[in-house]
Amino acid sequence: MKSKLTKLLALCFIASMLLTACTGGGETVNPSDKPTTSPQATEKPAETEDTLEEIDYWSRYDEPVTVRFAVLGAEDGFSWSDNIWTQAWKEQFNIETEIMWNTGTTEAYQTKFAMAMLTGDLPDYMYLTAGQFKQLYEAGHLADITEAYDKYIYPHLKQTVFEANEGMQDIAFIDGKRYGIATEGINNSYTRLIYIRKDYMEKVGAQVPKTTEELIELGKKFVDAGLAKYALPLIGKVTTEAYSDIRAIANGFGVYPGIWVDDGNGGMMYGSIDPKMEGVLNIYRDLYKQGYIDPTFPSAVGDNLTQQILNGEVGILTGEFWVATWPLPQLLDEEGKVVDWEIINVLPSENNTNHKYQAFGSPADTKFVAVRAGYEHPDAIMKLINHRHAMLDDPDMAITEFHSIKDENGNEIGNHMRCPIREYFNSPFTNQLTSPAVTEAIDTGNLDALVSPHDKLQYENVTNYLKAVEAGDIEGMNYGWAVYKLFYGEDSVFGLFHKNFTNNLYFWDLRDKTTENYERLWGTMQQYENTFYVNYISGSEDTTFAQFVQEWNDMGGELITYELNH
Amino acid sequence: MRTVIDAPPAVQKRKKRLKTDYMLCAMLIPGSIYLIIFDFFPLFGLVIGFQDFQLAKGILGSKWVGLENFKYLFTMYPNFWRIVSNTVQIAALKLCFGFTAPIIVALMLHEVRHIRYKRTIQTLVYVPHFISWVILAGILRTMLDPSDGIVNYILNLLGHESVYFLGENSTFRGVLVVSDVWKGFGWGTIIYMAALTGIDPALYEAAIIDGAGRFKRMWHITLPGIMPFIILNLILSVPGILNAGFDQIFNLYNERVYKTADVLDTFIYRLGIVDAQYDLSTAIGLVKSAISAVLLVTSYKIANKFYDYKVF
Repeated sequence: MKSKLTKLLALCFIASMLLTACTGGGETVNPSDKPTTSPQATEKPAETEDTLEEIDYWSRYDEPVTVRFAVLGAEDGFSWSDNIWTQAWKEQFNIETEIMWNTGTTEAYQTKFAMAMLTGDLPDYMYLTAGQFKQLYEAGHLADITEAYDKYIYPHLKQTVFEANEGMQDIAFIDGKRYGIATEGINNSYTRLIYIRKDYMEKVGAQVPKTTEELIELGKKFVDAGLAKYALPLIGKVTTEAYSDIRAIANGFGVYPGIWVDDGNGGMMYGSIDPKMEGVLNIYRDLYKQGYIDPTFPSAVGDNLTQQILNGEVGILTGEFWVATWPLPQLLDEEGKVVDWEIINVLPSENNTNHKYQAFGSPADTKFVAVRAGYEHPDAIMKLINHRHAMLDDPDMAITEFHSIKDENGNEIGNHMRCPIREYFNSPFTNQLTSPAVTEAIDTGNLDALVSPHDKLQYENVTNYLKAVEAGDIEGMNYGWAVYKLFYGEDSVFGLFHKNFTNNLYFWDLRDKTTENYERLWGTMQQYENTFYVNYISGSEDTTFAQFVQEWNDMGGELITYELNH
Repeated sequence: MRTVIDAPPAVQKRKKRLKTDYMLCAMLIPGSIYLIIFDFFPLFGLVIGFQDFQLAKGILGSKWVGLENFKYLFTMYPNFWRIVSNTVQIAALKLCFGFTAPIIVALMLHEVRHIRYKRTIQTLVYVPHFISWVILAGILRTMLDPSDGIVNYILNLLGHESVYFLGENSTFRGVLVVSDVWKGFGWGTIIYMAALTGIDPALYEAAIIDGAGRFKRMWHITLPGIMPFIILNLILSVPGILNAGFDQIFNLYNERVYKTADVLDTFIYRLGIVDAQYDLSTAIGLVKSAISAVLLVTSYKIANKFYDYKVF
């Protein structure tokens, strides 16, 4: 339980790293659109009404206005309804916050939200999946926010984030009216990475592998040398586990499970049923037979893997970028220093000539912020969204306390995670833009390279780390290791992502819409897919890959593929 | 000629009883309200099973699709029938062992003369009944862990290779049945022990005089003495044959043993709660209830016919 919480916190920490204004990259920036507020105006919000008469964005209501929220996240030593954010809202806008309910886990949240949809007892501010958005619209539960959006979302946010990606907002319009704000679409931040323990590589005298085959051999070598327990990490959700799944290896062989890929005839097909997938599964199957894969992987969860990592039983990981922020920095060597890991892109297999990295999500997976139909003050919600963005991401207005403060022990308290609006209104490319900016600022000393609040924050973190290295301050080094690995240099995690992106090396999900059958059956089909993969790898099922594809088609796959292609 | 028509005697009798037993009737009211709200009213929701149910549109607004959901499950969903067969097999195994174990233990304890010994055993076997499956599953998983569990440690000491009990289709059901029996037999034993105290000691004395040995006494007095309880227990168990024990399986299983361990309830859970497919899960729930109802009526009839057992 405890480590689950740690994981959640870690994820929140990562989310914090994702925040920033996206003014760094050029493409999405229009510096002239910054609001005409004076910095002093935002620091003492309550006194700003007079100076901001011409703009309505920050004005205060005469009568208190209440906004009701449903929040995903446990109240762990703080209150969702009484914190720096809600206090500021009350003071600045006279907006009161009411928390209808909150849950500790995503599953519980989805269940409760389903109940809310059923009973119609919805929060005023809603964050919805594409499917929920469609259902609620059809049932007449969503407010038309065309006017509220046009009038109250302030220009910086509108133009740098919401309207930055061309066409992104179009899907929020139905019959010419706006029913939501599209916030999250395709993203390359969740691309898999490979983590290899440097000290283990030294011990077995190995170089950084160049191909997937070499990587697997290295994994075996670690086990044979008695360093690691298993060659490759694996836990229950074999294709959807962000911590470590089989995608990193599959991608190396040019297979993209979980997303829709080109079928070679001008249409799209589902990557998980690609015939080449059988080969990837066979590799895992063989490793499993030879004892190179954790025999308990079907029932293993993230906590088990964390335990293995902290016990020093893991030499190779294949997960998302946040693994670098947690749990890796918790693994210390005999001197108390963070164990160093080589973090590299997914490797191509020997015969793969067109190696690309898997990006995640499709335009059809866009999330929406929406307002409950019948709510009297959609404008109040627009103001809160403005405030959330301004305090965290607006280069001219951001206030550090809203991001985080230090407690008496010097530990960081992430205030940005305590806002009832959990969403970050910033560009998905934030981190990738920060990395080159920070690298340039450090290498050339040109501080003008740092544009967004996020750039500046990470610059400070990385310089602190470098100072700690120079001074031999172990604590400082351990603290800054993750940020350094993520942001500094061309080969840092986000440096790699940035490079891959500029070189057009991503393989994007082709699915661009959803259908009724997709919404209805997809969850069940995904569960079934995972069950088959698990059983195939562990050899406890006699179903062949071809049989699985047939079954997958029968249970709705064929139908959905047809619908998505027409 | 006019005749005065009186209410038939039965109605009169009923009226009279209502008058005298009004307090008892009043006590029925809360229970009835409970039944109506929580058992009868939700029957309405079964309609979802015949709809393409959309949360936001609700029961009244969703599209009626007739038997589509059933068709999907019965003909399109792979392994649906395997799940049904798993359910019946696991439940039957549990019934088989879980039903007989408490009878045997109760009979054995009944023969024990040493009161303190008897009481201690009685209490000890009863304890697991109070531990919830969540906790028990955690304990079991630790004990049976293939790399550092105590069971495999012992196996290794004996020169046997480690067995992944909870991950092999060949062993998983065994674990289910053994742990279920172990957890439940104490409770059953107590019930039978209570029934055993109700047997007239004079019968035993008479049997001893007639020269009956222990086995004969058990066969001719003890067993017939608790037979009504055995039958009752059996009747109450049979309709539950499609309840293979959600708590237990859910806390112990993993995808690798779906082949032998996935049952209707775990499937409904994944479909309904995890995946929010209320229409499909309602459809299965309905099928399950229908089969249980048939089984209930049948087992009651059988008990009624052969053992003259009556509830109604």
